[in-house]
Amino acid sequence: MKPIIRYTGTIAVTAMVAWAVAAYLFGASPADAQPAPQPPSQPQATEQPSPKADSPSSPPASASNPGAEAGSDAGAGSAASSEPPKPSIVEVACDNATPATTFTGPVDGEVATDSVVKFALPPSVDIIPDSQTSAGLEVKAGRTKCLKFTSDGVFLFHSSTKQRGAITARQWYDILVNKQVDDLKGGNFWMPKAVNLTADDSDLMYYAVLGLSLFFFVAIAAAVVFLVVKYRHRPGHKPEPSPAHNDALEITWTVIPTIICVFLFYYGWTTYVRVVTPPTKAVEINVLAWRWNWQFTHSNGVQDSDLHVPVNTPVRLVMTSKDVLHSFYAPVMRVKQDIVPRRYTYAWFFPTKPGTYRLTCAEYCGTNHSQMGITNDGRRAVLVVHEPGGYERYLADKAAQSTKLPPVDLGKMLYEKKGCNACHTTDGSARVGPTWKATFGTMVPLTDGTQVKMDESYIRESMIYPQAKSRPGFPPSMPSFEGQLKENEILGIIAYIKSLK
Amino acid sequence: MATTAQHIDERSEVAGGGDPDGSAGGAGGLPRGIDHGYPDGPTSEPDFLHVTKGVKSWMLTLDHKRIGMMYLFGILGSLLVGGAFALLVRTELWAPGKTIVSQDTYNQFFTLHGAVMVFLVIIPGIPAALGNIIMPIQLGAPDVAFPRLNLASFYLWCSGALLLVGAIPFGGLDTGWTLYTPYSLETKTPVLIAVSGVFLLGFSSIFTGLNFLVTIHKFRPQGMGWFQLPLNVWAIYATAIMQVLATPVLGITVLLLAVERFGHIGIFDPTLGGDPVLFQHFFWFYSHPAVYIMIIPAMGVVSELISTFSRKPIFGYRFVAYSSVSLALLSFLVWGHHMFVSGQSRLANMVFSALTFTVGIPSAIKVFNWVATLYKGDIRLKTPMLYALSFLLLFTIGGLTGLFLGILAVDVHLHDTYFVVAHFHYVMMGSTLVAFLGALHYWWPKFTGRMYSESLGRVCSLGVFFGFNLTFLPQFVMGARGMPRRYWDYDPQYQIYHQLSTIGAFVLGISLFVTVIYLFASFWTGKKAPRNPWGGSSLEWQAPTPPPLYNFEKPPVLHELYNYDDLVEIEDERWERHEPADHDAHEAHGDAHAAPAESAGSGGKADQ
Repeated sequence: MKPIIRYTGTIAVTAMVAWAVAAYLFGASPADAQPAPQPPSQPQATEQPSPKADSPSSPPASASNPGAEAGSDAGAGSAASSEPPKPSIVEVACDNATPATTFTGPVDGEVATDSVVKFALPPSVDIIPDSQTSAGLEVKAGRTKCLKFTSDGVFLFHSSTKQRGAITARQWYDILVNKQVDDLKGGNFWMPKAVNLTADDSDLMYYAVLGLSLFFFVAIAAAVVFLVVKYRHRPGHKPEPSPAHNDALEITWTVIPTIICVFLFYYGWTTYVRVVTPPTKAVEINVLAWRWNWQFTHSNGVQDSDLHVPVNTPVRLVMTSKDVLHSFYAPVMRVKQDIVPRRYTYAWFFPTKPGTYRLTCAEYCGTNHSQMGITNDGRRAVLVVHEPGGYERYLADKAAQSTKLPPVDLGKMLYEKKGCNACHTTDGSARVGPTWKATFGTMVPLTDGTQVKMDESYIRESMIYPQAKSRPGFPPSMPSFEGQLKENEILGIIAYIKSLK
Repeated sequence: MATTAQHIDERSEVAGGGDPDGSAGGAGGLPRGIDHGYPDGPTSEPDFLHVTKGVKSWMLTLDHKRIGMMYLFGILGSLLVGGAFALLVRTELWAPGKTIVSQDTYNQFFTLHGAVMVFLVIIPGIPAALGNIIMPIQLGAPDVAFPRLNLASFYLWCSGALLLVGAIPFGGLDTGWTLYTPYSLETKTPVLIAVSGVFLLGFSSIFTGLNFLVTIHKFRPQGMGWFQLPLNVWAIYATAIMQVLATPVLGITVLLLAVERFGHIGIFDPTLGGDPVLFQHFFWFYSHPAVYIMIIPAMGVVSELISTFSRKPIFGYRFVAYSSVSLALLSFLVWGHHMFVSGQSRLANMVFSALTFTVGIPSAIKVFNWVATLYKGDIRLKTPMLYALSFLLLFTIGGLTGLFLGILAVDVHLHDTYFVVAHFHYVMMGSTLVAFLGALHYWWPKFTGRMYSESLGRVCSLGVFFGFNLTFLPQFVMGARGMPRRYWDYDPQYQIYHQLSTIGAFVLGISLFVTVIYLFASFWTGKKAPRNPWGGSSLEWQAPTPPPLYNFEKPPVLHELYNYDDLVEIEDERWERHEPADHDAHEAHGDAHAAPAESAGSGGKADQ
């Protein structure tokens, strides 16, 4: 054979074998295969969860493509993955962390992402992964192994005993929203559980009027039945003479119900004032409702479509709608407030028991009124009251996942970007328009002589209809920002103004 | 004891018989040649059903009785349509999620159920149908004050009904019967067609009210002062005040809604600077008095039924009369209790809550007075009385559950839940519709000349009572447990209550359907009715059965109101008044009303 053919052939065969070995070693699946296999660059090693390197079985975990990672890192132009996929299931030493969940057999389960899961299997049962994504979910029969699921997902497996199962890994706060709602445990026949501090007062009024009503109904029904039976017509029976009116009786049965009604009104009113008046220091959450979903924005910018609140802390909701009327109703809180477009309405409660509770829309808003906030898998939006400390952890964990600015920072940025700084100062000095410093919550005078409180509604109105409530001493030259500010931007500016003490 | 001698004589000349000097009664007065086979014998004039024949004579009639009957057929037909929508709603709610229809179709079902029932059945119900037929006869009058206006009211009702129901083939209505903005401004369903219908229906109501006000003021006979009026007439009077004062607000509200939808003015639309909550104020300013327009005639009817079937005057006549009028006036002050969580100010909430409690007191007074009427009576449990007793129990529940909703703190939890749905069905259906059925059965013999099947009447009234409670009692529980209203899909914890409710709805629906059937069947198979089958004391029982064109054959004789002493039961379901010729027997009763010094019977000569 001519030497050139011999050498080309040898080099080609060697290259192909080397590529095959590298592909096997570094997990290039056909979809991910790059035309030119490249040695894994050093950063890959550190990207793998290294503390687990002491375990001998790490190679299968790396089956999720450093090869592709290498391709995307070096290749930069790869549009396929925007972030490097990490191995989902990693083994950890059981004595390093307390297992959050323990499985003793091949059953379905839900685990929190990044928590340690212990598998303690009986002698004849093993767990074998069913798919590429579940690679790593492997436990030999009769062995005990601790694994950590580092990303959300559904991981399918089967056992040699022919059973099949799935482990669903979710963020810990998402596990709470997926729980069965807790409305009835601790409630009674008449009412769901009471989770709000003022709920006990409302419930007391309810039971009072219920008892009163039952008493009067039974009394009246018994009187009717008794009289109808006693004075029924029978042959020879005639009506007996009786007075046709009795002023004393009339006055009695007018005055007594009136007194009862006065009590019902008075205690109903005083309880109501407590139900709708929040304490001054409350965790504030902004609520945006539209057809047919909720958006809850927290003080650090976290946005979510389920409502997460802390326990034993007053929570105040500032609510508006993007389109038609909605209504925020959490039965366990005994709180309801219509949500009106182009305006803020308020509600507050003081959650007393952690749990997952129903959250409903209570003002007809069209097709999916009965399914506000429903997800693709049929789960409705819920109200989650966290254990102590859980809310702060939720805010931190969720914020870490989001890249949006907190409202105060957003407002500060918009103050400059939208040109508010041309007329409004933040240090108290005068300019074309009123200063923003230390004005939120104060009473401001208007040109017509009245005073109005500078609250969220006032600021919003002034941004959209600046001349609606004009103040003396400033020219009526503020332009309207209607249509130029998104909902979260308006909230950001308001938050910024509030922060300028 | 004078009569409207003048009016009656002019017309009886026209009718071709008659005594020009109007001498009262007596056997030898008038030639009696017309015999349709009624138990009281031949009459001197044909009755109003037969006096003229042909469709045109009905379509262009000026006779209040014929107009009332046409209203009645329209209203019963609308009841069946609204009832069909109700059964569709309840069927869909048998299970969570989709049972028979999609969300959009379901939203149409509950909207049309509400709109048809409220505007076509319950608001016109008792006043337009039975008020028209009976009230002038109770006054001893030949007709209402404005017969042509009366016919116009009827045709406005027909046009309004056609437009409202006619919206269905064009897309229907899915806003809820309350038409709240901004949704009603944005929905693609033909709101303009439906609210045009509502607008016309409003005018039907206004003209009827006006007619009745003038009739009651001007057409009473000499000797019938205000406190000699039957309580039914007091109730219709109070209703007429509300119809005339409140309904124009409805007209303007729907007009503004239509203008906003069509012309984008910016009254309610928030994107144009309008206030959506303003619509709620306008809407409820009419709709709260409207619910009193529904209940007060029902209360008037119940007064008549309880009095007649206990053989006793209503206890506390003046209190009952005054309470009707005070309810009519107070009803204008409480509309905000429908809006406690709408974003209304706390001050407004406090004021409306306080006023709402005041409006509950007159109703309570009436219930106590009715119960006291039963004491020492002689109670016959005929079908109308069964309905009246059902009313007492169901209205008590409806009224008491209204208290829950008037208490601000509790309303925050219960608003827009099934608790409210159950409450208003207890007052609108359990009270108003039940009283309507009682009135229908009470006066049916008078204006049709036929008796219906009493055994079917009793069975169906029990079916209505039982089915109604089975339908709506579980809804109170559901609502307090947090089930919102107008929901197509619901949490499975509520399913058992929904299923009980659906079963009850079908029992109720079947009973109502059978009721309509046997009532209509009586036209062919019913026994011919005597003049006074129940022994009623008011003037309509002196008119022939069925009445002639101008209601009376000879001028009616005014007797003391609600005095049953002279009425004697000839046989079951046939009574006659024996003139007090046997004075001894009269005094032997020792009846309380004869001596003016004692607490007298209601009204009459002794002024209280």
